[in-house]
Amino acid sequence: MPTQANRVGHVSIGVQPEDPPWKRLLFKTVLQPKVASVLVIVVCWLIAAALLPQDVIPGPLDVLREAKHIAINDNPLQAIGITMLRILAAWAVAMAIGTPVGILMASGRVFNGVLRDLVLVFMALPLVIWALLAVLWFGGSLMAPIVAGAAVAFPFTAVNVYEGVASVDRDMLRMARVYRLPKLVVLRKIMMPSMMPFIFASARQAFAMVWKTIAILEIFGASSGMGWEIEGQYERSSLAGVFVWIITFAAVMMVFELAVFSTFEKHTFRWRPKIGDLR
Amino acid sequence: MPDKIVIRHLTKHFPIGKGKPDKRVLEDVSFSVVESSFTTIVGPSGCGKSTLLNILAGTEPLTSGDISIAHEGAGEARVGYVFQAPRLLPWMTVMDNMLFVKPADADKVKYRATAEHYLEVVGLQTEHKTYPLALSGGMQQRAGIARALAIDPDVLLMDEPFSHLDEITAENLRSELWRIWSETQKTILFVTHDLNEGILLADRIVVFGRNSKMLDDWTNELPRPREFTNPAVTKVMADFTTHFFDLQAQADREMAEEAAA
Repeated sequence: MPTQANRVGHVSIGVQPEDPPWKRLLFKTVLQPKVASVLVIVVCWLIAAALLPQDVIPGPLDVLREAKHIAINDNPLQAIGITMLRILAAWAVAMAIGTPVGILMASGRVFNGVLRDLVLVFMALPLVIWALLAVLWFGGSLMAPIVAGAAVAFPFTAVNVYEGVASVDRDMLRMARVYRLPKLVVLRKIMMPSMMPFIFASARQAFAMVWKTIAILEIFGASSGMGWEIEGQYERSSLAGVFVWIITFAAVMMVFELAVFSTFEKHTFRWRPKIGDLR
Repeated sequence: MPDKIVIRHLTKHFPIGKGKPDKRVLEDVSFSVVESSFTTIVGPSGCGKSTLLNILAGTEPLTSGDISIAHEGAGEARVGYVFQAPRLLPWMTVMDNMLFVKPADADKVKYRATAEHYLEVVGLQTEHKTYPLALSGGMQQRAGIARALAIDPDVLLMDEPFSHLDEITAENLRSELWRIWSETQKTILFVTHDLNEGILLADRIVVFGRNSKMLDDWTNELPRPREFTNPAVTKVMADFTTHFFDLQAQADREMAEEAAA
């Protein structure tokens, strides 16, 4: 039997050293959150495919067959690559514009007044409008997805960064003044680290906004990329083909989220105590 | 010993809005603090005791009067400050928190050695690489004290540093502080609302009133070490508490008369 203290210390982790092997295996494999979420989706899909007609929800086997066909005849890696390139470029521009705008918004009443309205206007416009305008302006060039993605995402970055600056602990800034710390040290060692949670939130949100915009833009305004492939399958009335590309898209975004954001986050917030570490 | 801190006719008023009279925070306060002495300032909340420390630390301007802190060399005096909350940066290890406040003109290698020395003095020699949130409140405050000492301050200002801690931890830290003070011979100005804490620690107790004036300046001659269990100490605590409340009542009466007139 686990002791009482042990129960309290490990309550949110779920695995206790005294658990039988089958239970440990269950927790370590199937019940891992990521695995479990994929399993839930697959089960829901199977049920839906069994209940609904073929032309509404294609079965997993049809989709697998279609995926094999696409993998052999088309060049899926190229489509994934070009879309990722567009997303990353637009995302970088959104962050590069949004971060200083957010800092400016926090640095004075005049800036705040002017920029707040501007940011709100950008935020209010639907992303499909930006996709449309960007295609009209820049056609098939790389500029179109960059401009559309950045225009949609930078207001969210700016607002997050603004909140980040506003959240910096005034007591820490007073401490810095008592110890006569130079401005640059205060910026690098106090301001930036306290803003990191907000920078992460803004990077994640901007990334999600950008890939939604670019998927739409590719569907009607590009001749390459995953969105364009989805459009091609739509033209062929291949529901299974559309599904293949939707799943690919979702999988790529999920892997990116796990590989990039989670890794950086773990490193940046290593100072946060883990459960059981507290004295 | 010469005077380390001299405060003459110090007055501080805060403007609180158009058409309203300024809020008086400090009213004609004068006293000096002798080098290597331990002085506490006691008083009710809002009597201006923390503001006085902020003015001495140079983070708050004064309205009139003057203050000076004796120090060697050019430039301003170096002030070590221990806050009510530890104010350690959670994303830096204990050692990095110490290194981070290194004065611009201090030698890097020497400063590191000093920082190591003071971490040892406060009993944190094994926690160099620990992040503050993994330390208990008492240990965090120890790190705060080590940080204030590491810059080799001319004076050490402490603003109710133990008021957030449980009584057992606070009592341990008080005796540690007394030991550190007798070893380092730093001039300490310690603000507290806890009269007993003032009596346990200080050579001298300066009393502030709700009217923002200095009401008393009392020399504490109790022999050290001072312990709660010693009847001589508890007698002084009881007498001083009575005296303190008499002074505050007197100050309140004066304020009421002033308001009526």
